[in-house]
Amino acid sequence: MHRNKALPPTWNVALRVPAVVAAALLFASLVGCADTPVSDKETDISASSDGLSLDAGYLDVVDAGEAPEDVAGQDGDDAGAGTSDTGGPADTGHDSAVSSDAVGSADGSAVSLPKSTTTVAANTLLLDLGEHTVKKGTKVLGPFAFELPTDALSFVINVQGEFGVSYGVAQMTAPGGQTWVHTGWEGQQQNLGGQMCVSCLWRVAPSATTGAALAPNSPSTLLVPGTYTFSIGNRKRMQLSPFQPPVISHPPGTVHVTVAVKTAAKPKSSLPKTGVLNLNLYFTGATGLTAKTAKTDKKLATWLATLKSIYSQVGLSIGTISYTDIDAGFQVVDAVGAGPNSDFEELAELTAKSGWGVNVVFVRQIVAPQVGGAILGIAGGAPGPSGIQGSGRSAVLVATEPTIPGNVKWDPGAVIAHEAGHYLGLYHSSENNYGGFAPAVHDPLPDTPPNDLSNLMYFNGAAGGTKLTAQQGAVLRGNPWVLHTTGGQP
Amino acid sequence: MSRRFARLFAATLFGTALFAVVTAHAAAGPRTETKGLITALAGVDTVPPKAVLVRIAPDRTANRLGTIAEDKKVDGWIRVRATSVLPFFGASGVVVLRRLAALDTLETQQRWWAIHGYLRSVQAEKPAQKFAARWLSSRHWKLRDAVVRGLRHRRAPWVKTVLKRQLQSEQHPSVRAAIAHVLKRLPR
Repeated sequence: MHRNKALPPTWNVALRVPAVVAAALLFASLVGCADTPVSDKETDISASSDGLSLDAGYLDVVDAGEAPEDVAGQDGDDAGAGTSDTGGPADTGHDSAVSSDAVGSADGSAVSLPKSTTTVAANTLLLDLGEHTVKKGTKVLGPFAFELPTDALSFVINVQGEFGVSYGVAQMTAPGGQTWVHTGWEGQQQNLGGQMCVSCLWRVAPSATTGAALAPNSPSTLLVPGTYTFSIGNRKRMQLSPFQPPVISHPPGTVHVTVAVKTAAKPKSSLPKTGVLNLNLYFTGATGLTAKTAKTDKKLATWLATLKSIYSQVGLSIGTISYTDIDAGFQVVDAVGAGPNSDFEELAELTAKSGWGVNVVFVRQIVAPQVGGAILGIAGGAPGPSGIQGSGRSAVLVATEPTIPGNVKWDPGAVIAHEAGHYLGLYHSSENNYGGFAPAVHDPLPDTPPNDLSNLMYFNGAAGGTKLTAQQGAVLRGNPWVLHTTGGQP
Repeated sequence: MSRRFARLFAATLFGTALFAVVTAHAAAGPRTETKGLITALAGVDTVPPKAVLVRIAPDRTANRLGTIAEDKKVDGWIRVRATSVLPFFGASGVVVLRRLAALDTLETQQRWWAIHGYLRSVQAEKPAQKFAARWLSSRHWKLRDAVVRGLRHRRAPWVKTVLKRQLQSEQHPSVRAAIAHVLKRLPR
């Protein structure tokens, strides 16, 4: 598990040069490329995405054009190993996860149950479903199962694994046999090439290195006590050149599965109308902000005031705030290939000693993973991991100098609110469909109007929108990171 | 006579209609496509993929993005984004990035992306080396930082040598931290 620094970067330029140049010539001759190379001395070696949408904020790559079939033997990390997957949706083999606490299920497969339960906050339990070895070529891990107590308000499944490998819920059955996540969704075109299950009752989106999933995240998945059974997808996506479809593989490794369960302060009580979110702020020295100067910095005070104002709409207040300096080398976060050599994942791991709350790191610039491009902020997931710190996804990053001075629409406080919104479980209320060139995707909440520019979680929301709906508020307050005054502090 | 007149009339009508269609397309096409590109470049934490940008503006996409990047009437964030996606476009993007980097009229933040993007995407080593040397001597520490960060994406042996040499003379703590950071993470 985790980074092997001896490994060469999977997204290195040398691997790409011949393929990109050859593909460029082929592409130009076949398609009549609009951008004809003007000099044979300065040609492209950069990576780029031909997918329909890249969401650096909480998705690795949304690519509705991605073929569900895997391409054998082309993965950078598994070169020569000959992944022979040809299947798509039908393959749901549970062939890898083995636990010492495994018990027999009705269909004969071993079900992994919690090995231990720890109280990690006043009202949050962490169920440890153990570490599991993943064999090469394994598409789906599991099944896993846990018992949700009668006083549970929410839960988050966390899957910590290998750098650059995406983990997400591949299948989930709730008590009574209700299917929340149906098998094979990752291969369906409507689910954006496996990047988000739009067709599932429970909206889930895998993320690299550490995957997480929050329930409930819409009125469709209200919790009932009982046994929840699920399995986990194991998938690596590599965009080797801008002219070829992405390559999907299923690498070997180790995963650690935990479930954070938030319980009610009093028996039979429902989700409180208010909540408290603690923030762990990290400073790289960007824009002159350090742990020492930040406490009295007027800019930061303004940003935090914006954040507090936005979250107060839904009863969420900011609790304790900690201030910590972090390596100035991360002032620019270049997420490179979103795996080994990714600044984002390395930086997120540096927050391991954080207290209970969401980690927010202030950097100068953020270069989006894999293909590049400027972004205002990035979250460790939608949701990010909950109840655990120090994973490769345990942070929210905000750029303090991303744009040209005088751009009045940009408010870092709103960007923090937007990215922390993802981290606590919200999706974009509406994604950018690029004027019809990409699918129109909306979040699973009935009370968020489609294409509402004033909503904080609109894909361009933090550049102007600040509104949150009642159901968005319930998702935010439901996350285990949010504490309730009636439940005390951890 | 009347048949000749009818033919002449039909030809004139067809010619007029064709002219109207062509001129309308020529006038509205680029403007519509530029508007489409600006819409696609909006976003907090999403990056428009190359395929979408090409579909919106199939003709000379990189040049159009360069025009957006320079247009002071366009929102600052969109101009930064236009600059930052130019590396997607290979050689044509490289040419635009080189031109943008040299523009004193651009704000530092935007030039940061132009320099970083050029060094990330230009293939040939000699122009890259010359470009890096030019900008490492800049008075603006953020532009020197852009060189250091851009060099992270190159594998050639000269990169390490240049960064080590710069570390010896570099005074700005942020650039020094950037060099140390990149030296540890250069592709092997």
